[in-house]
Amino acid sequence: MDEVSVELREISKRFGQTLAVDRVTLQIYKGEFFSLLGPSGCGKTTTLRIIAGFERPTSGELFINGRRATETPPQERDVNLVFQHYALFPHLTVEQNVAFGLEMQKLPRATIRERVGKVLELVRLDGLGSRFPSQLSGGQQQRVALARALVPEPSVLLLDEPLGALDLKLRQEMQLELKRLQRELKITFLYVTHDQEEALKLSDRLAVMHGGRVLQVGTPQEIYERPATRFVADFIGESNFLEGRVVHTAGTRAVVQIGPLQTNVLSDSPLQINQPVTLALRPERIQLCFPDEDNSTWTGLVEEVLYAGKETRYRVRVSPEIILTVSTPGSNGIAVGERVGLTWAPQSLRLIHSA
Amino acid sequence: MDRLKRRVEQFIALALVLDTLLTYIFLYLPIGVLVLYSFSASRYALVWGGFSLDAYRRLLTDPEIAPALVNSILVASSATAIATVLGTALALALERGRVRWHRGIEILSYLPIVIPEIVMAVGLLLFFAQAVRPLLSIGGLSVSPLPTVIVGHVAFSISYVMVVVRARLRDLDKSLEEAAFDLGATSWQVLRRVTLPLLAPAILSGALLAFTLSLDDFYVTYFSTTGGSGFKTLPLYLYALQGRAAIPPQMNAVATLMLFTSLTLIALALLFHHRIRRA
Amino acid sequence: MNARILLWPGLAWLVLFFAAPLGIILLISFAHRSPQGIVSWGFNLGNYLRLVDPLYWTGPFGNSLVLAALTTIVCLILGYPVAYSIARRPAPLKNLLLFLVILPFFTNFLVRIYAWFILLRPEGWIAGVLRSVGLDLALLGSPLGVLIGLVYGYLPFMILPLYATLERLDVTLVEAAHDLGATRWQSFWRIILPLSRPGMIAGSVLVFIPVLGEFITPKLLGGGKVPMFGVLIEEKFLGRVPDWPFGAALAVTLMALVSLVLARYFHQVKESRWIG
Repeated sequence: MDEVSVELREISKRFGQTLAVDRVTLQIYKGEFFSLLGPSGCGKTTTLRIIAGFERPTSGELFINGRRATETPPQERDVNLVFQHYALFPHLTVEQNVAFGLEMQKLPRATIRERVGKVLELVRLDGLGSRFPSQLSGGQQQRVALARALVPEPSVLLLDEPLGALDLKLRQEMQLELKRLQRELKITFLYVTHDQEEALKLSDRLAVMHGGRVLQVGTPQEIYERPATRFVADFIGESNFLEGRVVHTAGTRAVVQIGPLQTNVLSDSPLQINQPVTLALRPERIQLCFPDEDNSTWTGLVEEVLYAGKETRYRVRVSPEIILTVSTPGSNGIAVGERVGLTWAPQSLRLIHSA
Repeated sequence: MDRLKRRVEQFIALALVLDTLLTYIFLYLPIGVLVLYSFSASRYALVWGGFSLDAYRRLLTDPEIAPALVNSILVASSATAIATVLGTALALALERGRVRWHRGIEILSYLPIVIPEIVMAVGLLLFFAQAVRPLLSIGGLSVSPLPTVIVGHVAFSISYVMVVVRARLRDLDKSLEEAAFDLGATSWQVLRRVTLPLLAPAILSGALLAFTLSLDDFYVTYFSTTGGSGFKTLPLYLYALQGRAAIPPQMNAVATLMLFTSLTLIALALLFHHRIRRA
Repeated sequence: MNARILLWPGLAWLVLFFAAPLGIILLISFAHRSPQGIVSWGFNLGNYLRLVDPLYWTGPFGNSLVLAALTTIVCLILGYPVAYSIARRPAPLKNLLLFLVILPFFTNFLVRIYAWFILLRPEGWIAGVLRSVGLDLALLGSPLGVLIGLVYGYLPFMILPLYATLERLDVTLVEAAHDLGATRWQSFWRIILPLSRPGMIAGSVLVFIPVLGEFITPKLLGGGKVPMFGVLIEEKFLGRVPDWPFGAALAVTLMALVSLVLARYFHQVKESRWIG
């Protein structure tokens, strides 16, 4: 059983009339890379700030390394934050910025110099110690912020959308850097982002948030393959959503009527006849084949073809009211106006419970 | 140890509030005293003699106050009008035009704000006494005090207007003017239809500032009107009152009235400002 | 563009009625004193030679410098906590408090000094209060009285730039300091104070320089016993025994001191290369 680094129990935060964080309960294990993922305004940054100590929860309890930390001031928490806009002290050099946390701990000068030197090397900023933040590029500033938060060796590192201001190439590089650092240092990382691809790439586990609530917690595979709610299925990757009604059940299998069409679906829990259900099917899980083949589930008319290099995207009309988006790698030479068959693996069709 | 820390922090927080409070009392104490004493019934301004409006009566019957008031307003209005135009033009030239000796002109325009007023006042005195008057008397002309004073007031007001307008000009989104140019407007049209309307609040603020400074000015006016011309603005009138052996009670009354006039003007300006904001 | 049209009127006015007068002061400082006390042209270094007399330096010049420095320091000590408190308040209150600081400034300053005249009299309240605790201080007619009047007049000049700097301070910087373990005191001393230096310097310049040339406050509250640059200059031009060239030399000396301070200020601003 892994040790719990950070635990939130029913944490809520109200700002005036707005409930920014709604009864959030999470357990983050020691040494893992955990992300809080969600659109702007979902409460993820507020939750992070509560853990850092800059906001007091309206209700609920916070535990850091097993000890109650709900009311502990930020300077006494064993947690450091990498700010979204870096918050580097403009009047101090890079070295002085990074050394700040150690100076607050009143460590001897020699020790400070040594540790600062090491961490600057770690983030590949050695040689830039005597520059001022205004003389550095965005990427360099970001690494100073990282170094400054790492050098006091906190047990948990909080990161508030640290890569948001960087351009694509740099962002991708830094993502790998961060993952590498986390593996090497074995510190618990708590990462906040709105970029779902980033969260899926970097995290050991992640929590999807919306409207102040945690909708689902799990590994990237769990979240992607088995989204729990419609929002998660829509926010993570892409999904085709189908509304239908159960017409036949047989153990874990059921038959669902969607408009004029029918399909089989697997379900973990028993379903009732006539129960309305929502199904989600990801575009890249649909395969196109010749129509009238035995194994094709549905057939349809290709209405749009968009070639995007890595993939080709199709819009296929399977019934007067239903259009499905299909994504296939490369190019198949299928043209607009053709009739095609669509097929997919049974596990790819997911049953969604609530919004 | 923690408790000690908390105590110290609470103490400091309290000290901050106390200091702020005391400072506000310090700032308003003299004003309170003035207003209070303006309602004192006594022949001397400094003695309390029971409640009365005597001071105000004396004020209204004082023959010197009306001309002083008129002069103040005349000078302030003229100086403000001229200074606002020149100062705004200067700000536009420095900020939007390409000018030679840019740095030098900049420094020259900021100087009146930074140097001690008395130096400027003395300079103007000497300038008029040693240069202007002799030159004009050759042609048989003489200078009356009014234009002399106005000239001096404009000189320092230009700088204040320029500073205010320039700050706003800097913050202005250049792309608005660029869009106008792109649509075929001439420099003059852009100025008239885009830049100036956007600058209007700043120009107004600058004008208000110049007006207030001019009404309030003592040094430049005092040094420019020596020579027994008897020309007085309100501040000079006040100074003359103080020079007398026994300070007459009108002093308090004038002070109180000036205070309330300023307050009213500012309140109006703020209201106006809010209305503009909303529109 | 038509920058010329915009530029020349204002510039001409400044040159003619500001720069030229300054030049004339310089010119006249080298002239002779006529029997009536005004100018008789000629080249004369005598005025400056008189200024070397140490009596001037311990008297009016020394007073001016000391009082200017004291006023600046007192304004800083009183003003910083006020600016700090106001800057931390939420929006509507903040503006109101700031407005209240500026409001007294909108009354004529002669009027305000006169009010201090009333307050600081030996028969006045303040002297009375002090006497009751055993302090028999002469406020009016002493440097202390002048200092109070000066601080009163220039306090807003210190508070405003301080407020402007403190208000723009990035809150996340203070949060970062706390996150890294700094106590409230440490975050103030290491982060807030250094970052408010531009405001402190600007405020100091806005107080120190005008006070150097002040004449009304020391004349009215000092009762002739607190000579300063400004008082002396006024005497030499409009007093009973005028001496215009000497007065001009005094003004030039004052300007020289001011330029020194300004030069130092611009140097300081350049030094802080981390700003912006």
